[in-house]
Amino acid sequence: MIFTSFEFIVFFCLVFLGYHAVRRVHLQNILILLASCVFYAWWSWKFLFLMLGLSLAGYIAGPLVHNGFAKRKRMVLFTFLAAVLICLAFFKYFNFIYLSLGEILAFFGVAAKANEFNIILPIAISFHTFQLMAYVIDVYRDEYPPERNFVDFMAFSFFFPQLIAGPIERASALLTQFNKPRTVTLRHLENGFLLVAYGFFVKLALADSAAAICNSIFVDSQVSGASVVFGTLLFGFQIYFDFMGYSLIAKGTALLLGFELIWNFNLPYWAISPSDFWRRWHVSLSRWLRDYLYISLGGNKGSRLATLRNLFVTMVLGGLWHGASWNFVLWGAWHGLVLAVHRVVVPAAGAPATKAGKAAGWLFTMTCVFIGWFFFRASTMPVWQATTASLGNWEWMPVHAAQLKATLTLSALLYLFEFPQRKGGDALCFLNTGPLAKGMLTGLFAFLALCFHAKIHYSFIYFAF
Amino acid sequence: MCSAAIPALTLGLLWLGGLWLSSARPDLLEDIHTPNVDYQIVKAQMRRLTELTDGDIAILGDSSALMGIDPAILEKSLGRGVESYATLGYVGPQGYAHMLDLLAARPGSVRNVLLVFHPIQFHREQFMEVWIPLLHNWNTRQVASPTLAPLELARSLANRHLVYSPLPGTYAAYYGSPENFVRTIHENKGSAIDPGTGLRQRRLEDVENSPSQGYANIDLGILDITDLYRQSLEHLRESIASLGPEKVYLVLGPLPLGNDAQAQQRIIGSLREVAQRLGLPPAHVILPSRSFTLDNRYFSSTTHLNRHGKQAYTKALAQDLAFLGVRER
Repeated sequence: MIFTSFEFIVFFCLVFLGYHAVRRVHLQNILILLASCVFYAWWSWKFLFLMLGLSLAGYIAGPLVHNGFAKRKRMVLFTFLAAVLICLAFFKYFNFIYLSLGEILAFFGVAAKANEFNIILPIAISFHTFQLMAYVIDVYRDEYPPERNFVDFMAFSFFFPQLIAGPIERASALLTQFNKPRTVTLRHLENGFLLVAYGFFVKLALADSAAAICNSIFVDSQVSGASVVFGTLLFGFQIYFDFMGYSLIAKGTALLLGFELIWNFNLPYWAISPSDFWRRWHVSLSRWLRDYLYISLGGNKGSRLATLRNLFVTMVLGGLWHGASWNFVLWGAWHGLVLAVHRVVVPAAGAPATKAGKAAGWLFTMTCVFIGWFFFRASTMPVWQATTASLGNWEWMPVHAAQLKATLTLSALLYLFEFPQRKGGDALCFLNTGPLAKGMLTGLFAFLALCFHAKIHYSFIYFAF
Repeated sequence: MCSAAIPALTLGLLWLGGLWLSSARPDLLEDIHTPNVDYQIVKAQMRRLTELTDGDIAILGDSSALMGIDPAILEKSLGRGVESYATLGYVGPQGYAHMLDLLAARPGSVRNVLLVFHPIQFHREQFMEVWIPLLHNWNTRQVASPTLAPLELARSLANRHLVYSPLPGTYAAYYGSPENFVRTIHENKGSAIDPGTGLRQRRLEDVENSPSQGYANIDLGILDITDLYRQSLEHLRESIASLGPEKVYLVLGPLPLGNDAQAQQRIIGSLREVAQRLGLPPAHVILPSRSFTLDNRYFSSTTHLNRHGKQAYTKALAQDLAFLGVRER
């Protein structure tokens, strides 16, 4: 079930009432685990067992990588990582690798073109495996003790508000919350409801409005370069609002149960450099990639060239994590390249200090980010060919006035929402307002979300990853 | 309780405000048919027909005329005011009869009417009849139920003024919103462009210099006149009789047929039968010189020319009309 569906609202109301009726932590954790299983089984009960199996493997691996000889610990760690990655690779990348190899062999005339296998990607597998891997590596590095309580661990690894699309939580941040009683104050409730209402509004009114337009632009019959530019800008807004809407609902629902999740966005479209952008965008994934991949590859400890290589490889793999498709590889490689170039240039130029320098840095960063969104959105070869070919045609068509208006509207709304947050120095500073203001905002966002609860529902983009 | 009361109160107040506004200003609500391109065409043309008074040549007909004839080119060639009120083949002769009656009754006198028929409309079927009451009641809007009106109101306003709800298919790529599509019809004297093809080349010369793409493979069976169509012609005959048959010309719409003489004769025979049933003199049947000769490069579909085909066909039609003396005197 998706967050914006009627089923989820009913489901969450039942969980919320049951959760607060049961006062004991252990029972609350059991309820969360059961609710999470229902939540996942709603999509596929068959894959529920796969996901539970992965969690179980993480639970078993925890103590094993913590105790014993270094050699054995290392072996257990690698076995666990290999098992999880093989599972992820099979479901997510098998067809991609198989078809790509087939294409290459067919190109050289070695074999005929291969046909796709019917492998269904289990929803949430990427986020789930990354969270489990983070836990086991943290335990291996002695950064977190292994969890002995089975229910607590399973509830942590399967926590439904963040199960499908993150944020990818560290055990030190989330699992500890399962070990102790949670207090839900009036402030938690006010903030939780406000976050949920705001999330619904952002997803249904903003992201889905942009989605309808983007879907009409990224088509294999596209002939207009201006449409592609507007479409790319609008997709940048769509993906941000879509993921932010999901993350707000995730954070809000977790808060209503007394849990604090990390916030995945820190005003990313205000970033003034590429590295600044990655500190602000999908924060939990960026940190995961930094801590478990970039640093494992050597980080910036080696030569300058090795650092650049590590950056590039991290970003390519980060791109590939998003989906088994060349456009995601290209997107990752593009960001890797931009980060690498920026790293080479900035030490010489220095970080922008003046207003003009910051403005230039912002313009450069946004140009790079939105070019990246084009790679991200042009997901099939026919669409890629049509949209790139259309960049030779700049004829003004009636649609462009509407696209311009939509782009300006979404930019203005983003500015309106985020400027006070930026001034306040906190991405969620509106949670610090008084109860009256929060209540009114909740009512307003709920009303607007209802208005835009259109007949056509667009799934959350990150649910596909 | 307090934390729930304020949002609920705000929601309730907004809802009540929406209810009040939607009852005070129902025009702000979007019609439920808005995303339908066909419906937009009928509505826009009926509005123009009832509101405009200028133009002494009026074009009535199906969408082949809407997408295939550029009134501005005709106006320039003939030196007379031209307005197109072409709608859809679904509307059929009975619908055109209603439009002709309205045209005759309005203050500005129309000196000539061009009825542009694509042969495909001769194959009339029962399901198309639904368009006749829709044409008559074009100004009646179907909006959301009163309970949901506050929600619809906010979405309508946002779709109209802030973002937009794309039309289906290629219409979305060229026009974007229903409002833009309707605006284009208004700004172009009642004509539009079918964006299915022809957007890659900017000029007619570019298309003319490109290699021919052959002609469509048309099942001629669907071009035969059905009994329902013959019945429908009776209504139009009456309207033409009251306007004066000498003012009306029957024009064959374009189709990518090529040099298939047998098929051409079959279509021309059907068109002559239609003219006869409408009480039009044979001299008032116009077979534009490029009705059959434009190949697939100029078409978006078998019934709609693209923007380059529209230019080529209209230029040819202008010459034919000038030859017949339908020019400024």
